[in-house]
Order: sequence, then C-alpha cells, then structure tokens
Amino acid sequence: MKHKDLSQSLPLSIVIFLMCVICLSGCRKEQEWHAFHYDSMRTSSQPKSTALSDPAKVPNLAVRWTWTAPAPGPGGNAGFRASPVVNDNIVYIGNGNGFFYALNGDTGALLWQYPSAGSPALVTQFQCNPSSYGIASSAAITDINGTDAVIFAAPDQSIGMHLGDGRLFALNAKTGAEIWKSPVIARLTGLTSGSKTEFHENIGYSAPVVFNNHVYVGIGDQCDNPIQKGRVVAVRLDTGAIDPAFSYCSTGTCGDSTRGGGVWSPVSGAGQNVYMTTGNTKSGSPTEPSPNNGLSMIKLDQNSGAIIWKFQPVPWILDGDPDWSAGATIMSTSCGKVVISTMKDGWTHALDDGPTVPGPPSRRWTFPPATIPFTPGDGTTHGDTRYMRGGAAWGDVYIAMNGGLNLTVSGVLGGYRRLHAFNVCAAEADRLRWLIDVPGTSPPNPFQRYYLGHPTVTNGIVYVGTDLGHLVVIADPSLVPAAGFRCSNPDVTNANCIASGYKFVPQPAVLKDIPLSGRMVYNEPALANGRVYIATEGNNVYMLSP
Amino acid sequence: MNIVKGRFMYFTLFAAFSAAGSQMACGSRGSATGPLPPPPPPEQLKLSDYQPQKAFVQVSPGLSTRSVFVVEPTTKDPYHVDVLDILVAPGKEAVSVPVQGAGVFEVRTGSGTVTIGQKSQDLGTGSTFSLAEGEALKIAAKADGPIALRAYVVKVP
Repeated sequence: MKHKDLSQSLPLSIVIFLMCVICLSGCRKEQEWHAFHYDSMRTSSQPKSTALSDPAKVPNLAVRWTWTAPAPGPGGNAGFRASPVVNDNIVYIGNGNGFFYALNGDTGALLWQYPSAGSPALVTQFQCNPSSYGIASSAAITDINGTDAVIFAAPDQSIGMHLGDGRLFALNAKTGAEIWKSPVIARLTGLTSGSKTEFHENIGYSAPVVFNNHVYVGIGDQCDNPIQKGRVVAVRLDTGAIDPAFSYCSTGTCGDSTRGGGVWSPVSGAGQNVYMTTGNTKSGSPTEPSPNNGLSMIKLDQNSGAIIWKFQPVPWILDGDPDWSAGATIMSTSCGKVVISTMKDGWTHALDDGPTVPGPPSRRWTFPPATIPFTPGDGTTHGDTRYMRGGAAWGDVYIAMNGGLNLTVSGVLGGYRRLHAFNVCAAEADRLRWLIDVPGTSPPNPFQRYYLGHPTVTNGIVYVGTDLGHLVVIADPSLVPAAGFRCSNPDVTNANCIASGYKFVPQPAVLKDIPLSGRMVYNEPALANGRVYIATEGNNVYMLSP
Repeated sequence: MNIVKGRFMYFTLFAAFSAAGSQMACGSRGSATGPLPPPPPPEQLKLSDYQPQKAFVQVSPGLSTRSVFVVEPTTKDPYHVDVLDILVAPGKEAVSVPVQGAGVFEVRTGSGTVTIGQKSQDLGTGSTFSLAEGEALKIAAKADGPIALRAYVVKVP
C-alpha cells in the first residue's frame, strides 16, 4: 500500500516540481527589465523587493563595473541616448556609434555586438539632433517561437534609398544572430533641408513595445525638418512583416500630404489597446489638418489602430510646438486604470482609461490645475519647452518632472530640475505628495534646458540620472522620514507659505548621490535583479549594486 | 476516500509552500500606497533648506509681491517701469495693493475679484485690467486658492 502511494505520487511530484520551475521562471523574468520603462504599460517600476528597494542597503550602492563603448566610426556619434534592458543577466543597449551591444550583467564583458565589428554601422545620413545619432531607441525583450529575442529600432543604409531608413531588428538574445529584419518603417528618401517632397521620417526615441503578438513603434521626424506625418506601425512578432490590418496616422489620411503629430514617445500597450502621445502639427502648416491628432494622448484599438479616444489639451491655435515627448504610462491604481503623462509644456494630465469602445476620455486631473482644453487668453503658453521625460508609477503614486504650481507665474525653467510625486487617486487638495529639487544637477540657467533623465522606481525608492552625471536615489517619505517640509509653491518661502494659501509638502530624503561620467538626461536607470544598470552620454554603461 | 483527501491536502500544502518559497526566493511585491499623513503641527515641523531663487515677500497680511524687472528712467526715456508679481492669499477680505504709478495687470493663475475705486470685476486666469495713477486697487482671491498677477507699472518720477 505504501509502495503504491509513492508510485502514484510520483507524477504529482513532477507536476509540483514543474509548477515551481514555472513560478520561479516567471518571478525571475519579473525581476528583470525587459523594456524601456520596464514593461508594456511603461510603468518604469520594478515591483519586486530587492536591495534596491531597501533604504538601509541603498547607501551602500557603488559602481561594480563600467563598460565603455568603442569610439564611433564614420557617421557615428559617441554616447548612449538609449537605455539598457536586461534579460537572463545580459544587458542590451544601442549606442550613438550605430552598434548594438550585449554585455555580461555580472562583469560588463562584451558578449556580442550587432552588426559585427568591421561591418557598416547602423547610422543615418540625416543627422540633426541626438534622436538621429546611431541607435537612440531602447530595446525590448521577448520570445519569438521559443527563442529569447531582443528587438530594437535603428537606421539602416542597406535598404531603401540607402540613406538610413528606420527599421526593426530581432536578434537571438543569446547569440546576436538575426531572427528577422523588418521592411522599411521610417522612410528617408532624401537629404534636402526643408523638402516637402522627400520623406524625412525617423524612429528616434520611440522604443518598440511588444504586445498582442506584434511590435509597435512610433514614427516622428528628423528635428522638424520639416515635420512628417506621425504614424504608429505594427509588425508581426513572428516574422517582422508589417501588419496591414493596423493603421494609425496622426493627420488627415495616411496617403495625403498633411503632416504633423509625430510619435516621438514610446508606444504603450495594455488590455486590448495601444496608447501613445503625439507631437505638434502647426509647424509650417498654414491650416489645421483634419483630423488633427497632434499634441494628443491617444488610445487605439490594438488590432486596427482605430482611435478609441483622443485627449488634446492644447488646441491647434495655441500650438507653439509643445510636442508630447513623454509617452503614456498606464497605471493600475486603487481608482482604476489611469493613463497619465506630462506634456512638454509642463502640465501633467491623468485620464481614466474608460471602456474599450470609442468615446471621449474622462479627465481625472491636471497638474498644475487648469481648465482644459487651454484657450486663447487663458494666460497659458505652450511652447517648445523641455518636460520631456516619462514618469514612474508606484501603486497610486506617479513621479515625474512637472512645471509646478508656479508654472504660469514664473515660467518653465524652475521645474526642469525638480521631481514631483502625485497621489493619483486623491482629492485635489492632496494631489501633491512631495517635491524635490534634485541634487547633482547644474545650477538653474536660462540657457540650459536638460537637467534630468527618466526616473524609475522600485517600491518607493526613486532612481534618476542628472545632467552632471549623477545617479540620485530618493526615498518616498512613507519609507524614510522626509528631509524636511517645504512650500508646495516653489516661489514661496516656508515662512510665507500658509499665509499665502499654500501648504507644506515633504521634501524626500536623498539616500545616495553617486557621481558617474557623462550626462544622463536621455537615459533611465534599469532596476534589475537588485542592480542598477545605467548608460551615459559619456559612452559608458555602469552596473551598481549595494 | 480518506486517502484521496489526504493526497489532495498533501498536494495543496506542497503547492502553497512551493508558491510561498518561490516568492521568498525572488522577493515580494511591494504594496501600493495612499496619500501620506498630513504634516505635523507648525511647532514640530522640520522645514527643508530649500530657498526660492526669487521669492515672494509678504508686504501686508494676505499680500506678497516680488520684483521681476525694473527699468530706471533716463533723460531720453523718463519712465520708471516696474514689472512685478503680486500674490493674494485666499480669504474673505480684499487686500489693498499699493501701486506707485499707472499699471496694466494680467492674472497668471487663480480667480477672484478686483476693485478699483468703486468698480468691481471678476478675475480668472488670463484676465487683464488697467489702473490709472492714484487709483486705489483692492484684490480678493476666491476661497479655493491664491490668485497671482503680473503687473506692469509705469511712473514718471
């Protein structure tokens, strides 16, 4: 009887063993950093508790290795504008020199590069700002027919007009061998400045997202020379072929000559939908295109690209080029699914995700508070300013650059060095959770526009890079007592705060401020397996751990 | 029947321990968080060392101002131009705003009421109004928040 029990239990044990393996595998994947901003919802949040989320261990954070990319060849530029992704302890990142690298996560040793050394770099002949320097788009990790794969976007002079059309590459994550290369996605058909007969499309910073067995990526332009028609393209994950069933264009019809609404930001995916934000349409155009989906946060059907809703806070008449550069973060909160992003003009907008059927979006709040849409004469301005970085989501808290309560009075400059944390679901009076002028940044300067990179968060511990090459770690005041309290309006002294009608909010504690080499204003710290991986414009990739 | 029950219990317990073990092995998920508790009372409040670059200075209860830009008169242009920001706290009473000259005002944020002499006008973001030299100016902010204005004041000394 006993023997019989054991034999009957054997298959059960195998099932349990397999369950454990699957469980551990899933948990290991979750601890890694598989996409720009962590996941398809672009939460920029590592949900697993590790040493990086332990305030007692963070002060021990130190550089464990540094890897420097080779100097650029012809057509290349030094520096990393992309951010690392991490899978199976391998770090993947593209460089301005036009090469894509896989590094050993433990040692920083180069495992492989693409293209191979001596091959032509992935660079474009139309170079006007860092979005067109080599590989500026961050990668995504996925599984293609049972093989771990890494997907990234880059210009490629081997196709099209041989000038550097943008396309997607899928490589075997272990070996760097090609799995597929997409057809041309961003067209570059000439180099004539200002030409309206040539295509000057660019993938730029729009990191691909893997979602719904497709890879979605946004199309912008080459530094508005001139602006192009913004698009989102979907390719099939298994083959890299463009899916003709999905179509999204920001202005008019996909075939007409209207232009604008570039998709500079990373596309997001959640539920049955794709989300993105768009750039301006007014530049160089005497009349408003119809439809005009520029300067909008948009929810699309994942299969067709049809618009479910569009939120356009800045109408065409006020379009002073406040391109929406931060993508949409999809937050799962106690008040439901919230879609949130900060526009380049400094206002952060939070929307209820709403149903999947077409209809107007429901705005939850805007900060600083404003009447939306903005209207001529309302005292607001919406220009080409620099609130461009994505935010980080932690439970009901959203952490991001924001213009602050003094935005309309003092202008945009003061907020460039500042992070705000918002209680997404709270009442208006409790919206602002904390704010901090991040240390390790340059002093305020009216001629400087970039101070901070994209913040990331793990269980309330915030990581952000700065223009002076510092990695700064900040603790939510629920975890570590605040350094002190300050007035919610940055222009009002503490002594005058309450009397002026504002309130005190915490200034969170800085747990660590580590100087590295090179600006980190385009980059995000990837928080994987208890380690921080971050790249800089100084051409270095760093691994830090407590 | 008992044997089947026993096996089921064994399986359930083993699966539960396995799941818990694997969670411990890779770290737990942090919990979401709501708003922070309110700040402590003023006497216990530890203030940060943050100092605004161009702070508003309180000139009377409920009224703060700051100078943005000043043009001194010259023999060629005998005008003194003072660009200043005005911040009025929310409250029931309108505050007197001393202005040295004639001015043009623009509401930058908030809403309230302006009274010039005996005339009153509602204000909202983007509203503008003017003031002749020597007129008395009073501004009230609505109860829900302060009102901030930018003033361009001109005077011939």
